[in-house]
Amino acid sequence: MRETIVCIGQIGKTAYRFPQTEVSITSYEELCCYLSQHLICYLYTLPDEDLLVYIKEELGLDKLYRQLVKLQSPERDQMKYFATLFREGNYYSEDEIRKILDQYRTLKNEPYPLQCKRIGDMLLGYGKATMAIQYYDEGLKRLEDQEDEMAGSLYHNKGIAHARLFRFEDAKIDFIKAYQNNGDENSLFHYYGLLVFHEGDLAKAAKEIRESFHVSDIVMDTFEEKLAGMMEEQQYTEDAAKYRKIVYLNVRNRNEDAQHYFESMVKDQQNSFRKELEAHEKWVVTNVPLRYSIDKK
Amino acid sequence: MQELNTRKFVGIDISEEAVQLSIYDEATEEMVEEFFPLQEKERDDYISSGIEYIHKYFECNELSWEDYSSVHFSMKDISAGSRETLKNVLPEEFVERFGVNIIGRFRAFVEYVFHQERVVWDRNTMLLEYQDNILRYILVESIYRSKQKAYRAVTQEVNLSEHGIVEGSDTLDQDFCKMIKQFLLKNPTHIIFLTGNGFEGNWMKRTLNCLCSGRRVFLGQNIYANGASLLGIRQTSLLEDGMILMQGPEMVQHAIGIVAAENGRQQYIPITAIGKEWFNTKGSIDIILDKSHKVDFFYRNHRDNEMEIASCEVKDLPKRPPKTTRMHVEVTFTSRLEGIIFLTDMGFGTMYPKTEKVTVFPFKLIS
Repeated sequence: MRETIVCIGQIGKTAYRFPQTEVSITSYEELCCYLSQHLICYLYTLPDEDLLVYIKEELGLDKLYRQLVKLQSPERDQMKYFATLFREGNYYSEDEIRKILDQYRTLKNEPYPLQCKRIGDMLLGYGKATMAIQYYDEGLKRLEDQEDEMAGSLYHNKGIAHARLFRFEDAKIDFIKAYQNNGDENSLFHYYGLLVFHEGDLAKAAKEIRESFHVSDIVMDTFEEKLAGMMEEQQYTEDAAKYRKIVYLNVRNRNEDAQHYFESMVKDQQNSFRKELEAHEKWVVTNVPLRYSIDKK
Repeated sequence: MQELNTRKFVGIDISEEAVQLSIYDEATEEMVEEFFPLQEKERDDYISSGIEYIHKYFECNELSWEDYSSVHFSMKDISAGSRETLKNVLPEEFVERFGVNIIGRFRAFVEYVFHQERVVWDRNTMLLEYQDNILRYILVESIYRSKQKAYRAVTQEVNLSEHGIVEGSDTLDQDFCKMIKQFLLKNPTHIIFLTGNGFEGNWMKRTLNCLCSGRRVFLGQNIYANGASLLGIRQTSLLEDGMILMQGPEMVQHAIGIVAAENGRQQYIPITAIGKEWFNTKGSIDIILDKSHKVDFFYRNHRDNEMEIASCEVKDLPKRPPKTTRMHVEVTFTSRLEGIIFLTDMGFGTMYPKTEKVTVFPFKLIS
């Protein structure tokens, strides 16, 4: 028998937007799907009260609203909150709910720096570099200058986040620290890549890597090959195609069209970059894990 | 003191012979009945003539449509043409306020019966309509299906000429009585409603004796309009007391549904229900597709208690992970045994945008 799931509630006239990721949902099923994939955001808190109002008023799930309101107080078990939410409809089977809750439990039991890294990675995935950096810093603070793989990993991803924000000097430091902590050549390669793209001198970048980090010729060859591959890949991106079009229009003396294309390309890039800079004060504060706040006192 | 707002429901029955108007007041539980016979010259366009009578009645009595909660029409001829004519005749404002709710006379009577006290519908009840030497009957009887109580409403037409009965003849009473005796032996009934102009006049003596022996008999003209007006209160559904199988003309006897997981168990979920005319039968449901892009529809024949399965494949959907395709399923009937299922791709919010692509899946039911 084929699996078919009957939807419950109604489709909301307006969408509910999760502040952390800016993902919008309009139905109970979308809510379940989103929450099951983003439980990492709710290790120390629960979703906003706005969501409960949305469940009641837009999705028409009054009973679920009343149940969740009772489970909102901080002393209540968060597992119960999510279990109640998932069990209201038929989107997940009982086995699936158990699996999701097991994963949630595992996430909750993970070391705090790893939790921070996971949230940071998720935010980076949604193009929220500034917020991701806050979480990487949070994780690093907790490690208290311990030199280990976790610290390396946090520095590496923080370096990527800094690079996204065009803070290349900070990014370089992060990649070096990452390499020092975990000895991963990937971090060194990122550092090398940054040197090449930022300073535009391939030979100088190779020399610095060789001298400062005593890298063998074999590793250096691998780096160069990898970089060449990345540059080739870059040729097939949408932005590269747009850039080629601008050059083509300029060559044909269609300067006005070229200008128009250029402006629209810049506007698109500005729009996507703006997201990287955003840091929702409210969300960051409420999601700084309670454990950290308590320790500070 | 402010007057309490009470609901009033209007039922109008339209036929070539007459227009019946019934208004039910929920507060007083009283029914106002009016009967307007149509003249010969009005019969060509009896629908607009009938509606005109109703409008005139409202005008003369200074009644306002605003005071009524619903208006239902029952019609002797419920063909597409008649329904369309009625829609065209009604003023726009009226249609906006009440819609055009048309039911058949068969359903009007059944609704009337099931809106009465339990004693009326829990035992066999029959309507006899005698007109133009044709006896139509509607029988509402309680039956047992798989040890469960249910109610069945059936209808049939008997041409009395075939039984040697002639309307207006001297022996009508005698012949009719003989025929009805045998008929009631085959169809035991406790309550009988009589309607139709065939019963008018003082010819019934023996027949009445025969009908009344051990039964309650009611004679009236507005039975269909009464049923239509009572429909405004609610549609009959007796799931607790037993299912109602309405085996009348144009009545749908198949429920269209799907089997889906509910509380961890596979359950049949109906999209459309039985107990309405095909043109009044519609239903919709939103489902989520799992791994497969196929939807199984279950056609449940309530009369024969049989189930038929048809599989519909939704093609050309964008590639999405399992459980991220919401489909809006809409079922409409185009005749008693045919219909169309529309499946619209609703996507999954902003995560997987909708294409609104509609898959059309016609169905044909086995009678």
